[in-house]
Amino acid sequence: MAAAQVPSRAGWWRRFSRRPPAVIGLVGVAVVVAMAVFAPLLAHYSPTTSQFGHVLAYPFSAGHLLGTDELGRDELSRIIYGSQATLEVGVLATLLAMALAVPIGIASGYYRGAVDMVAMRIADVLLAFPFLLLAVGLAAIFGPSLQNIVLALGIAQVPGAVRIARAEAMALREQDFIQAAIVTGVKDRVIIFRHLFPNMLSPLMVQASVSIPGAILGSALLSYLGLGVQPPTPSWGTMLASAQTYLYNDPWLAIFPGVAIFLTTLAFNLLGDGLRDLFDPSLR
Amino acid sequence: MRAYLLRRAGISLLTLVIASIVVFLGVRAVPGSPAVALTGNTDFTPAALAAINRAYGLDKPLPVQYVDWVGQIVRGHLGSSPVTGLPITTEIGNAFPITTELTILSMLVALLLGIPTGILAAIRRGHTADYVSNGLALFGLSIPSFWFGIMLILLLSVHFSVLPSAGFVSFSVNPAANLAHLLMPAFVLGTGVAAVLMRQTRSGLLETLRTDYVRTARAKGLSEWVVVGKHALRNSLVTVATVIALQFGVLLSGVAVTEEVFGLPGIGQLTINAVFQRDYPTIQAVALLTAALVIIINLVMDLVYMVLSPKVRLAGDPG
Amino acid sequence: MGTLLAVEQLEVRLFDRSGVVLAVRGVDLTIGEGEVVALVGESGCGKSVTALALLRLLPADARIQGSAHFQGRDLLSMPIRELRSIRGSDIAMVFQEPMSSLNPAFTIGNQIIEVLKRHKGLRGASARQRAAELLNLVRIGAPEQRLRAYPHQLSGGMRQRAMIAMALACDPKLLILDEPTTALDVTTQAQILDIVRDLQQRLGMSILLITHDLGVVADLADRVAVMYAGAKVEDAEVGRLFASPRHPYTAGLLRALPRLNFQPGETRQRLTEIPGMVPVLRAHLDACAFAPRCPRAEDDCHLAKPGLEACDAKHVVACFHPEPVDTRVASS
Repeated sequence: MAAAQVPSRAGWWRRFSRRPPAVIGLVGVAVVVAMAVFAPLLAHYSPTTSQFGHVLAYPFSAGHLLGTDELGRDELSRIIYGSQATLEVGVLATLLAMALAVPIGIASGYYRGAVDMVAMRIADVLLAFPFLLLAVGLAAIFGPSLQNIVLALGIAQVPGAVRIARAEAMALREQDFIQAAIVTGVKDRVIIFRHLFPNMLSPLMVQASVSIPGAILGSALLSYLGLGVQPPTPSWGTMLASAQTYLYNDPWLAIFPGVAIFLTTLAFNLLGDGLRDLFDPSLR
Repeated sequence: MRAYLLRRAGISLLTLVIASIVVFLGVRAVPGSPAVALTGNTDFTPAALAAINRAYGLDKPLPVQYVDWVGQIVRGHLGSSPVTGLPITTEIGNAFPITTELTILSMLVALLLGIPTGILAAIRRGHTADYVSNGLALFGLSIPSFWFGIMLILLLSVHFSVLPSAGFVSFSVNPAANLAHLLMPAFVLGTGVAAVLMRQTRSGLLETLRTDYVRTARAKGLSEWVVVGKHALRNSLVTVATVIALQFGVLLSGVAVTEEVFGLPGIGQLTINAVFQRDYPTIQAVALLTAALVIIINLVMDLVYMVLSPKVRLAGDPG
Repeated sequence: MGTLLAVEQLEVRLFDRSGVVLAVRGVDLTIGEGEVVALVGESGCGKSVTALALLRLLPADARIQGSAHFQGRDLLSMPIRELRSIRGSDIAMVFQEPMSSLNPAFTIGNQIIEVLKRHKGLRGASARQRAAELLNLVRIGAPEQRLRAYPHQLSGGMRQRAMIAMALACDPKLLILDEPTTALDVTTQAQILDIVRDLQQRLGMSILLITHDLGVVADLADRVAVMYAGAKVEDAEVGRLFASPRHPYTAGLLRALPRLNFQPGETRQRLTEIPGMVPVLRAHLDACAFAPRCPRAEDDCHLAKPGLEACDAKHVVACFHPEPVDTRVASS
């Protein structure tokens, strides 16, 4: 099933843009990225300043479009700034996982033999621990901070990513053009860097965009459990955790962060689907 | 066939052993001495520390410790939690049935929601039913489960007061209340998995529907029901079964959070509490237990795969 | 001999990544009762598509036009439910790849019996008995055991014979064989052809034989229709076609056949091949599709599409400048 496709460059934008969900995903991701990058420009209030006179205000009240939280901080600004933590973790964790997994996967899939066996056994063991529990455990050990949940989520994603990278490497290795290079005595290192890896880029890109949603949900979860960025830095997960206490007073506090997480994850999912269709449309 | 099974069982056992080593070493890798980790105390007089070390066998060489530990586990002695003081076996024993019931119900929800929708989407590919199903699947995939849980509580417990928002009642005590407490959590967990199952069923079925043997089945004049239900579905079951096995792992992940949100005193909540309270003996025990469960489930799925695939069954080698 | 199947102006449009493909453009074909008709051409000429179109087994987005009258009813326009009762019983098809055309998850017996169940209502012991008889018919030994076998446990030749048995289960009036021997080695090919010939003589059914192998044609067919780029270019009785092909394409195909038997005094010649490739047409062409590759082409060939004209008894050809009649053979 890991069909290493060599995609056609021509007209990829045309084919991508033909599918509305994919474009919506791209737009959504762009919006979230813009939110994170231009947060200071977009938010009217500081996300950390409390205004104790306006605690738990409902949406559309006096200058606060989405209301305020239990400490009087503007919800909208906190949502905008919260995107930073979410994106940082989601993207960095996945990139970390890929950076670790791809070399191992290639070594495993290309060289096979002892390296492969050992790598696969280790992957099996790591995969025996449920992803989130592993991430929670690691994060708890490392201590709560943004960098540490990036590390925790990244490491937790590695075994799965190794499996995929390995499958791609194995499939590509059997293809005629690689076989030809091997047979004509081209050095391994050259084959891997010049031929194997470039052809793995597109499936890996697809895999990354498919993993980011999981990382985002994971980061939200870890924040919810208090393992992520610490207050007062806003993060959608922590906002949800505190909102749960005030569920009866101000349900809106629980709705907005969740919607933000949902929409961001959805956007990445749509983008990922769109990319996957681009490279392997037979699955459509 | 037997050779294949034995080989798989062997690998599973090896994985389990390595997992246990990882768990064992993990606890001892925590900053601070193992004595701290195992007892929860932070200051010791040197004499007390020595006594603790002797009591827990921490002064023995590492491999010996490991063997002792394994011996104890096999005999069912998991130690006591330094936080609650209770034997871990008891705590797990209390929490296990709750989590098991939740997991099974969630898987049921996932199967009932995911597979029929996947089949529908495949046979009505390109039509409204397909788009709707795909949309629902995306929804299930993108929604943070703990938020979904909170929203459901908001709707059904706070707003409408239909279902209880927390707690657990055993089935033997009160079946109706039992289901009432588990309905929302199972639904929350189940929808996430249902989304994955739906996609997998759909793509698996689309693939089989394109095959030559399905074309032959049609050429024989068989009705669409038989063509899809017998010929196509049968061959896509294998991929779906693999995915189901993987999703058990995902479920076990999600269980932790869902139990937190819904206040269910299951293994998940036990684990999270243990993690936050640095209750390493409990963490150790639960980690090992979960790993063992996942490994066993994978082995069972290998069995199922064998039954479903005649090539493997007869030749003894995966095709 | 009555007409069993009359296909008129069959047009099939398929869709690929780049758009529409006019795979079959206006084909007429008749098959008489008990007649073996071969549909011949290179890969991509539309012969398989023609056969699949008859039973409407093409992908759902294919567009089919024309008519195919079988025993008074038009296969192409009848409700699908009606067609399903014809598929597998009155008209049966055997496909090219026996390994992928049989469901790997079920036994041969299961797959044969399900046809019997569907069309004849046979069950249990009587069904198994009939299935065993069918396996005997295609010369598969120890049929009761073979019924319990899975496709991957049989050799390629046996699988193909099992497919034939499956097709014959309900005594079809028309048997469509799509490249029945292409996927097999030469010895097995001969065996299968032997069985098919024998069965046709015994059971008297009509056969539509799709193939690119002229050797197979010579062996089995009564009549031959040659296809090129989705259209029929020649149609004649087999002997006449081989002896005196009129269309340059047919002549080219025959010249490309290696021959081992030489008359004394004949000089050995190089195999001639037809330069170029079969075009993929996306719309109707107002010219002869073969003209670019044809050694006999002239200006008028590029300006209008030649229609099928009778050039002899029961021999039609679509060409403005057909090959001359081979005088050496014509008199025989």
